[in-house]
Amino acid sequence: MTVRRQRRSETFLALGLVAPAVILLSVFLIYPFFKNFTLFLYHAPPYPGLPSKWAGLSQFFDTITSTSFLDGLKATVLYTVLVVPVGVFLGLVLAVAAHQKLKGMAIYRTIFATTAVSSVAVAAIVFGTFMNPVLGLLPWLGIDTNPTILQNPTWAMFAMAIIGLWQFIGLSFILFSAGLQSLPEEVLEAAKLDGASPAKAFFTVTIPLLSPTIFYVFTVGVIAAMFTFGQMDLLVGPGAASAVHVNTLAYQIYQYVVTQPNPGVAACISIALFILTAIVTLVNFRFLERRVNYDA
Amino acid sequence: MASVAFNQVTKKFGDTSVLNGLDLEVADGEFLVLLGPSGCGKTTALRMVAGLETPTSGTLTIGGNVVNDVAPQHRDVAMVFQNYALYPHLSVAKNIEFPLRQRDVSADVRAKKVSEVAAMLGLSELLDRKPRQLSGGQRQRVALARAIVREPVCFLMDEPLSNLDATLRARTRSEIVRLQHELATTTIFVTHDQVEAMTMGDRIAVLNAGDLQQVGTPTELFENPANVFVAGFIGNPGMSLLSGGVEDSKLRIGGTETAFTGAGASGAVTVGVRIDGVQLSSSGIAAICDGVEVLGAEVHVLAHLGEDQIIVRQVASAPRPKIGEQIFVELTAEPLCFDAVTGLRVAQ
Amino acid sequence: MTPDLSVSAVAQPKRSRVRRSKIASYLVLTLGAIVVLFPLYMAIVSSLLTPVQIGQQPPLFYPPSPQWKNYGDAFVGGHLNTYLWNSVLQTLEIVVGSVLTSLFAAFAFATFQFPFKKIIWALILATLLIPFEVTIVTNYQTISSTHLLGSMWALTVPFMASAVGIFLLRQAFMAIPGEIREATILDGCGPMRYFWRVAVPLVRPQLAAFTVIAVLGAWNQYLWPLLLTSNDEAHRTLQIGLKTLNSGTFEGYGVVLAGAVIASIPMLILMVVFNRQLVRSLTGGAIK
Repeated sequence: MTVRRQRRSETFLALGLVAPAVILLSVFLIYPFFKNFTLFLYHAPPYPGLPSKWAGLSQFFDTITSTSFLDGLKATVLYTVLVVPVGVFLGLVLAVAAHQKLKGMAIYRTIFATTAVSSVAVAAIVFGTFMNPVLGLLPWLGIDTNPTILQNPTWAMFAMAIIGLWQFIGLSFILFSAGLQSLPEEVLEAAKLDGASPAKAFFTVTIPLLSPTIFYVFTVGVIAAMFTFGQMDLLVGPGAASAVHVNTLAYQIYQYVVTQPNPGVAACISIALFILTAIVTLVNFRFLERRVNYDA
Repeated sequence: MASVAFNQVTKKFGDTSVLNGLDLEVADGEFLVLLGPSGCGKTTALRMVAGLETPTSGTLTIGGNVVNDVAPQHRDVAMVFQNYALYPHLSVAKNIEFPLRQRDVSADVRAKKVSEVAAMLGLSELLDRKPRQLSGGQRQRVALARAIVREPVCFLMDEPLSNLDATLRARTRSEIVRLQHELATTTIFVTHDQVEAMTMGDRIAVLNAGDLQQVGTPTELFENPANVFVAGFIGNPGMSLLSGGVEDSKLRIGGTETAFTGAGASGAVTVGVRIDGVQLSSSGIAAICDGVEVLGAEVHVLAHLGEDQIIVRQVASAPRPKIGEQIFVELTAEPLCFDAVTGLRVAQ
Repeated sequence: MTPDLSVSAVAQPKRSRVRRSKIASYLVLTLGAIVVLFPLYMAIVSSLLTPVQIGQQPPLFYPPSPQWKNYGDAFVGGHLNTYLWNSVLQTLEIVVGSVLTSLFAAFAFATFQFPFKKIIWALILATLLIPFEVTIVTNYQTISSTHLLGSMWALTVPFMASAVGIFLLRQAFMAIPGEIREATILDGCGPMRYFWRVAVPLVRPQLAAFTVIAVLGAWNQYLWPLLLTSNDEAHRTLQIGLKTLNSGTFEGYGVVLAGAVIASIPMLILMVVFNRQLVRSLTGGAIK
């Protein structure tokens, strides 16, 4: 085979190998993402089969200024604020404690990682049973949540956040453990010899060296939190969600696809949520990355 | 400055013993080299002085005080790591300053000391750079500066030259020796390179597989090795070691016999000769030539007899044997004898 | 400079200070472990209680007479046997699909030059930024219109490609020294033979890591199966089955929690057995 013909056949082979993945990703991720930008310009017809009416950008602006959207925005932001910083902090604390060369560390590490492999359904159901006003644990702790915390407009979100936090701690812990293990041992020893007490060495050397990890965990946590809706669906349901202020934007997207189909509005919220997440991630990037110290 | 002393120090990791009952004294202000092949325990010994490892048994003293249980930050020793261990997120100036900050030294004194030490090591231009912007040699000097700046009682150096290229290594070698003389601080230097050890140390402690083989000045180790290991390790190239036997005041090596005046030797011995203690001749020990290395002004002839290797130095102009040719080696100097079983030197 | 005479003075405090920090660490760790394990522990305990026992105040912390029949009920009356089987099938299909497409694509990117290579790679990376949640509007329409609705494929095909997998495996393939490929060329080995016989075996660690994360992701999926199987009992997966069980007719929580335990066990086993691969895939190159 001549070199040229071989290269031709290699090209075909390569494109053939890449094709399945590219086709699937295009059909199920790229195309839908961009389709949102046409869908959101049309009002959904009252009955399926009828043509859609042009709405232009007015539908988008109406949607994002509606009370339900703003309420959902508040819910999403509140949830993120409750879950992510605490989850990052606790994951770090536990990872540091488990990093010592003490006996039984492997067991602790396995235990903390368990929440990372639990599904949202399992977590929601398990915590849901705790929160049952009659049968759960809350009465035992002396907390009266009549009728149930899940129907309490003030506290329902906290219940959701606890579930999310429990799940996030596992991942946070795993990432920080890996990060701690990859720190250069010698630099920490040098700090010891230079006279730094363990506490001082931790804050002036370990944390700066760990900053890429802290940044990564924060980013991953925020993105996951902003798209959360699983425990809301399982424990509260689409009907009651907005009443108790747990109707996160991701949940609203689901509702406008399944329970109250409205592709136009669903697309609007999808775009809005995406932009929101992109902004938050970018801000995160700028703000934290300036303080991140990547070494050579 | 302080002296450092190991007293029957042993270190075990699990069931493996890395250091066996080390007895060693480093005098105040001395430059002592811990020399040996990888795994001999030299780095472990160094790290014990730093406090990064604890002795399994035995006592370690610094300046006369037992320090087995003292934390590294309280020992007042400074270490230069093999990979420098600079703080990647701090500038050169802040790296050097770090130890002073831990000791609550005031900002003015800190700044003064940092600039002094930086000038001493030629780092004044680089103070604002980060470690990742420096070359290997520059990073090493920063590591040195960080160690010097707080005037510790002892410097510990863990193979600091091994990551430098050959020219830089030679230059840095003499710089370190000069610095040490100027500062007169006790220094313990670990290396596997015997050339470094010979050129830098006041005394050298040779270790092998956790045991101290011999400690002494470079000359002592060269001229009076205590056992076969030291004889073969020291010198460039090391001693050629041949098997032989002593019987009735006669030394037999590979078919030849010479008179043997030394006492206390009988039976099988290992004979050590240096490349300048032998010459090619028409008669003597028979060997087969394995090759000829041309080094310019001189030539090394490599040969073997049985399982032993021997190297003979010649001038470049002398006739060179061919590979496979039989040659005869004559002893021109008194060889050293070691017990074939224990490896220890027997009296001459 | 005189030797630091304070050295001997601090010899004693070091021991107790070290011990104090060890105790603090164990305390923190044990507290954390209790908090983390407590929900699962209580779930297991409650899954073995009768409805009456569950209602007890103060709550029971261990089952006096383990009600294994709760598990039986979950399987039969709660249809978890069907749902479990569906989840297994779904996970299998998704993992096999995404592993194969990722292996092929990653290999192509690492080994060949071809037109549009840079653009296609940028495309694939771009999908990493697209969360699945913003695609469901259209994907739902796509699936309904192709009449795949009501089949297993609807649940699995959208996930049979993974940018994460391609990313991880491309790195792995690129780490194979070029000389190995050259040696096989000289031996007359074609590219696909090289792929199956040499390249894939050499990237086994990363492949294992990706497989673990793919299994985890597929098994724990909630959104897409919810969308498709809320009204389709025959294809419902385990996670959505749990939701049905939760809003269902069984008395007390025992059966529901039995279902939750059943759903968790496979992933817990996975985590214990494949811990290293799991960690490796979660940190996938982001942590140096």
